[in-house]
Amino acid sequence: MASSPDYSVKDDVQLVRAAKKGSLAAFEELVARHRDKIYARAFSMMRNEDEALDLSQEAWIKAWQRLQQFHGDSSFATWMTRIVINLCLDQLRKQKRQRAESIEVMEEEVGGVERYMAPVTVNPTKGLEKAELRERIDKAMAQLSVAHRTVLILHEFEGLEYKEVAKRMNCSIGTVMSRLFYARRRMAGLMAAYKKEELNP
Amino acid sequence: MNRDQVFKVQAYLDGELTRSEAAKLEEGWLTTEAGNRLLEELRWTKDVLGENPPLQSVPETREFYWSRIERGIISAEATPPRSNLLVMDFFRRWLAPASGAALVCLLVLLAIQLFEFSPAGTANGQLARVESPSDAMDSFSFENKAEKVFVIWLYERPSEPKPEWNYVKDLMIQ
Amino acid sequence: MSFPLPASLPGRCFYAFLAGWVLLARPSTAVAEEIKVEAMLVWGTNEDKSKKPDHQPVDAKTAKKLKKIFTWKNYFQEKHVVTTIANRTTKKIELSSECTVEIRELEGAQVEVQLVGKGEPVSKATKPFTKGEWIVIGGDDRNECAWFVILKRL
Repeated sequence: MASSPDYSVKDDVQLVRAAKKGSLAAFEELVARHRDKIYARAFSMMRNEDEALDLSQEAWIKAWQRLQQFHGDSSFATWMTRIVINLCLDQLRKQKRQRAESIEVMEEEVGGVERYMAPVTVNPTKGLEKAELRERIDKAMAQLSVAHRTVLILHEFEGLEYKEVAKRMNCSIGTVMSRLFYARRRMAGLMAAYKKEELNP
Repeated sequence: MNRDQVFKVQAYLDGELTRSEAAKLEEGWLTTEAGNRLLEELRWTKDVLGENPPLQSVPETREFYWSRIERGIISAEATPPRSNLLVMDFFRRWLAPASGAALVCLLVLLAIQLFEFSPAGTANGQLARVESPSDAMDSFSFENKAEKVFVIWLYERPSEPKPEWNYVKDLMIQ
Repeated sequence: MSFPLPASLPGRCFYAFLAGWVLLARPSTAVAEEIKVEAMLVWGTNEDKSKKPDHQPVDAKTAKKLKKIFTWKNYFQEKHVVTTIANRTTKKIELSSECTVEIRELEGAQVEVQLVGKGEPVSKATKPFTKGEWIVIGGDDRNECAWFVILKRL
């Protein structure tokens, strides 16, 4: 009896090829390999474990259905993150219709106050271990509004250009620039604030 | 620095300026202390984020996580079985759930009468109808019951037929 | 002679629904009436002053209400009109050279409001419009400002 292939030694290209031919086992290996990254992306957008789990799993199901459309123009991981981001954006849009964000958050959206914030001169992350730094970044990202977090994720983590971010968020390039600017300055301010708290408990 | 200038500094950092625009900035605002400080801060933030993307592990075992995906795939691929239905079978299949739905409708109507609940935003329980006749604009609407204000917010329709993200600047307090 | 009820539960539920609908349905309310409306074209901004010299700050009551709903800091009015719309007629109110609002008084204390921008209809709403209520049609404008067409039923 022929033994099933060991997919754990195959690269993504080979796994995708096998999955396209109908191999769920090959697809399962792809899931195992990239599940954390896809989940992390969903979690960074939704900030909710259950939603991130649901949406990441939905993304995998959609990926299986659309596998024939993947032609290797980007890496499989990149293609997957785009799917999960789109699902998150759809879900956020639905949620926005159901509840308004807080006044503070909305003032973030509208403000121009970030232009007047003094630049951060303290290096807030000097001396931090990698894990600690990630935790601090995560804490700061959680403080941002959905729109600001989304623009950061799309631009800084997904590496999309302004035009592409604007297309995905269905807003103007000017709005992308404005939100990105605010989000970056807010992140810098938050990271500096955490540092100050540490130095002056 | 005005808005255009700060955005130019950011765009310069992100490589979104043309060569001539970048050169102009290098000879202009980036020779000032304010410009440089801002650029440094933005660069620091960009670098820190870029080098430290969020890392979260799926809080489920490999097998459990995959099992739900597998079930979803199988369910999505399953096709309904063909069957020959008699007319009475058809009514039996549909009348029961339809009657259940009818019962729910009756309860909702009772709730509307009892609690004056108006989900689509009118004070006396009647629904509002909003249309967007323009090809270029779309809208969404809601009511702020406390203030007795019905809001219709217009926004530009996305250019693609099926927008992936239909974000509208949501500045309303409900 | 007794009314023949269906034997099955689903059937009885269906009849219960029909009965409920008949009992709870109401005729449409009221006779159409003449309505008095205040219409305003307003700009929302976070700047302290409006860029247009003829803009005046809205009255305090309007500003207070707008601030409870929207997040711009200041509101300036460009046009302010008080008008009456007779039974079953349409009134066209020109709020600016590019913006007109048409209000049609319908039966059942309803109105149809149509916003026309640059000659093109951009929004139409049909709804009850009772005294004290506002209908606001708005959208984003440049420089993170917003425009509002505010209709108040007086």
